[in-house]
Amino acid sequence: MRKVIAAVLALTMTASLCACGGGSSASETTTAAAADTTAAAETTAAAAADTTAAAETTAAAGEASGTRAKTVTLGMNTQISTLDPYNGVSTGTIYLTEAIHDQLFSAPALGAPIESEIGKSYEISEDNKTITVEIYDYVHDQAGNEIKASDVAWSYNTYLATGNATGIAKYLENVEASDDTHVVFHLKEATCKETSAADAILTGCVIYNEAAYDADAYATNPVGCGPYKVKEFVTGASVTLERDPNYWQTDESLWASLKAQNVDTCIFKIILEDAQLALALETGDVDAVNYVSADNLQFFMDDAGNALSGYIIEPFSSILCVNVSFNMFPDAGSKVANDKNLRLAIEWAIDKEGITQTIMGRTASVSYGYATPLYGDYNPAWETQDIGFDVEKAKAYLAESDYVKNGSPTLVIMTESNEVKTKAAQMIQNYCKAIGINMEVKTADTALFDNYKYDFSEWDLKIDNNGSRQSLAAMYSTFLSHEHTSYNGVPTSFNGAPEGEMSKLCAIANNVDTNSQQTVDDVFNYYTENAIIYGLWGSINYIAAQDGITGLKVQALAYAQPWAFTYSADYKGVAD
Amino acid sequence: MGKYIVKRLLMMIPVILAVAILIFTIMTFVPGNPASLILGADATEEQIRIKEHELGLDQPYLVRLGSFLKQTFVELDFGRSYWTNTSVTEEMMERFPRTLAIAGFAMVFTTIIGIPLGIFTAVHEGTFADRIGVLLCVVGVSMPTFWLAMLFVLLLSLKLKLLPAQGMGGVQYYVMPVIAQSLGGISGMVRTARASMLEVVRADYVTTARSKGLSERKVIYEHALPNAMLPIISVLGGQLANQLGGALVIEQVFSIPGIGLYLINAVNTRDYPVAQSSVVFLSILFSLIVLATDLCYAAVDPMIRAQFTQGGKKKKKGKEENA
Repeated sequence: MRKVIAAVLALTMTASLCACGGGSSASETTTAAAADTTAAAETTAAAAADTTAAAETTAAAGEASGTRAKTVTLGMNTQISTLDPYNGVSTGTIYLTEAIHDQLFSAPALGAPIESEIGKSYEISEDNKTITVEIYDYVHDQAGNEIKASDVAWSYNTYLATGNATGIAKYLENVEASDDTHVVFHLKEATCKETSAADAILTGCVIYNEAAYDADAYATNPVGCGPYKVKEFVTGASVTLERDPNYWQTDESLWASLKAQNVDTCIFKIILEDAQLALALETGDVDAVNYVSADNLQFFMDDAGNALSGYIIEPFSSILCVNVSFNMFPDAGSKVANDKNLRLAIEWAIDKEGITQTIMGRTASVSYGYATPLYGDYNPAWETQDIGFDVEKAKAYLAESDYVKNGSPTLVIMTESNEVKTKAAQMIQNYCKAIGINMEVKTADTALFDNYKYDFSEWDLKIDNNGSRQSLAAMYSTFLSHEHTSYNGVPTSFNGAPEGEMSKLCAIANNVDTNSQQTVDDVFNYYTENAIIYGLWGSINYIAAQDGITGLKVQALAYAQPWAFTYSADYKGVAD
Repeated sequence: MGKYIVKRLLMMIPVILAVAILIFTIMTFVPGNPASLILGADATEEQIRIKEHELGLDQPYLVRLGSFLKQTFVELDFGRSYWTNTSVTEEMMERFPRTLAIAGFAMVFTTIIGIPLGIFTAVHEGTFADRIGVLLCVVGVSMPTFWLAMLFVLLLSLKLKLLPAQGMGGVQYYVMPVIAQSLGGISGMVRTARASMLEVVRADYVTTARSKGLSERKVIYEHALPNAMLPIISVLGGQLANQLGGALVIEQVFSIPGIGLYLINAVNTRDYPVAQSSVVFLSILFSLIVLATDLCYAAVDPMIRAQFTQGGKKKKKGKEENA
């Protein structure tokens, strides 16, 4: 019997080893691939610049050399719940928006000037209260329905009426068509001078033909004005788009960067598990994946940051800044709100470079300030001015604080219950323990966290991530201003700070009349000196693809746009 | 028998109603606001309140419960998803065949492999084959399904490139999910069938049958097996429910858009109509499975059949006697 058991165990182990062993081909590198992706290990700015450059040439290169691919399949780790942005802004929807829909204008990259789509030009009144947009007079949707200014006005008003237009609702009073080709946007008095108002409005709504719109049908089969039509939507599994040969904008020189038709059929395949997503690329089930987790980078990239044989891989910086904020609401039991020295002690005790390196590896860069370098108003000087890691300073601040006098209470650090943020919370807990601060980690799933983060009796510190599609000034104004939310009837910022100096500085930095690097710096200086919020890292999203795809393309939020990838002349997609 | 089925179907109504009220109550009181999740991080408080009003979330609990029950059980409408505005009924009907395919095929494998293997090991108790079978069953029962599924993917997809790693399409896409899903069930079924059969083959009537000179084949198939089937049928019913429940995990691993993935996603995003309807739908399904299991009992056991068919008469007779 022993021999039998031994034999069975040996067989099991052999099978397991066969299954789990690393592939020999995966560890090989190719000089060509290495040369193509030398910049892969470099971070944000370079990658963003490369991307923009690639974007500019994508459509032209694809068309000029006649290298339109037949089919491309993108594996993506996010659900596509609806194809109609009017139903709400989910990540999956954003991925496909630029293919299916056209807006008035689009933002090719963070901080870049907006580009024309349906809108030909626009003019902002001197008092910033109205924006007048002229649209092209030959726009039609994928069904051939003409798009006039009245359709644009109707689209905006319909979107506003859904209650889902959070990005533009705060700015818009109403929208009207003055003739067939001119639309007038009337802005709200209170927000019309915000720096991001015009860009948010002009890029914030997809355009439909009023008569053709069908709210029920458009969730899965919208008729947009974009370069790709929906061919098939399999709920929870895939979306297939096909090139619209009758795309209204026939002059390709007028196409925005995100408009391209470099492939005939574009399949978006939903694979929610990160490991399965990476496997899908390895097994040739997909041509590209929208995300490679830190654990799976080794299968596509060597230690030097070069792509392994058979793949291309590139890093794209995300706009999101993962941060630690302190609960600043004064009367809800926060143990840090009224103790600046305690907050400073915690900040100085945290080695965020260590945290970033340990948890995120190559998939993040350290954040200096509550910011990432991707934003146009990011100041590189912050990298030396930000609070660093200094245990002695931390201890000194702790000694000056009331923490010990108050009986060394246990602080609560709250975060979402995902692996990365939980690990970060645990590391912060240990750093604080090292200087004598007791901390308890409290985690909650996304929906619960979304609830608890505005309950200022639940936590003292919170790990969250924030970003803006426009600028740091806009992000600060959104999250650090007291108008963000309210608690017990008191308007507060997203971390509980009531009206005060922080809100004033944010408003100044985000006003078109007073916005400058100095006013943004003032916000940085205030939250840093007062230890209100503290950036940990900015995420870097790796997109990997089969060799033969020669260039990757992302939109402003670093989401892959496979119809705008560039392909080698002989590229054959996995579905071909 | 017909009356019994009708009676059981009527008894399902309060069960399903109770499940519906329970899931509605749980979803209502679990923290997490669908309105703020839909609108995203930069939504203002006012925008969230407007959205809550639009979704009816600002109404009192009892009002919402009433309209949910009326919509579900009177209008027979599962409503529309908060996130996609699509019909929940249509979505479920599109997804359910995938879940059923996994659970159904897994169930078939569990039955056609598990029961004969269990009987074989029982009949050959103490032999080398029996011991190997028992050992493999312990291993099969102990292995988590998701881990097994990942091992299959690594071996059959990545290394041998025999089967697709995930997604849906032809039959080949269901091979790994079904095998991964059924292995645990097969192991459990072998153990149940073996234990049940062992108990029966030691019974006096089996000894009597043998002493009458019947062939071993006749003894096993005609005398022992029918009596050993009762506990097996009982486990089979539970197995089908388990396979449906287990499909939720398998769907996640293999990215198969079935009811499980739909439900998990709905719970995470607090899509109340979807979560509530999925649970109600599954509860109806499970109730029907339990009913089918009980009817199978009756088909196999004449004593139970007699109870079903004569239960009413006995009661009547008793009343008449009392009068």
